[in-house]
Amino acid sequence: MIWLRPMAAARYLVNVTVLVLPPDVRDRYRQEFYAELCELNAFWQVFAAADLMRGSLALRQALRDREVVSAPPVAVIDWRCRFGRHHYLSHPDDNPEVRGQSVLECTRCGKHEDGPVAGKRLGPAAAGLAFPGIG
Amino acid sequence: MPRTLPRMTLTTQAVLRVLLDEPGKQHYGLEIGTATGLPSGTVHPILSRLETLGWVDSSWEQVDPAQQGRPRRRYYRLNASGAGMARDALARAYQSRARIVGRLRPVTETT
Repeated sequence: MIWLRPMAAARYLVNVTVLVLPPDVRDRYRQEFYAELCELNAFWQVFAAADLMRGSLALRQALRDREVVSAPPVAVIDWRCRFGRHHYLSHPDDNPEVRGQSVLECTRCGKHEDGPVAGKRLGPAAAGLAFPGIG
Repeated sequence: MPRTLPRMTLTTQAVLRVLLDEPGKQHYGLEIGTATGLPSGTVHPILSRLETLGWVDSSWEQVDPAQQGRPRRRYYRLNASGAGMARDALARAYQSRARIVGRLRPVTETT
């Protein structure tokens, strides 16, 4: 006999099982597990639900791997840039409105700074030699 | 770095063999569990990993639960690229196992 819903004890175990899963997939797995349990008799429903509960941590781990695979790569910022010790290099600005001027770009993290004023030499900060707050 | 191959445990191999028996056929978790002799708590994490790797596609059954008298099933099917990779992975796992068994087997001398 096939049921429309599993018996209460099995439903309870499934509801506990899906609690450890990421929130966005709980409903999907609840429905999926209910559908499978409905094909078993009342006695085996509880056993199968308990087994699903046993495998819930493995399922959670598998779903976490999915998040790792789909997550965009995170840019790692050099520790020197975190402390404000950028390594700037000057190059011509691509912006046509400020043609002729240059822009400073950190070779490690890509941070932009205003270019040096014409005629002014690059200070130690521009060369990546300055300590934070100095120069 | 994301994995491109699942860990080819014996349980993963058993699930892949069932899915490869009829690559176009849709299977649901309980059916795979019955065919492999594995409990549902073992089958679902494997299916989830295979789905993450893009070997398996899953979809809800297109039926009316009231008419069928049961809830909709979630079906799994190996896609074309997944079937090819699954065959390769199973073949490699089989060769690896055969090599290990070959090393363990005692050498018989013929006179």
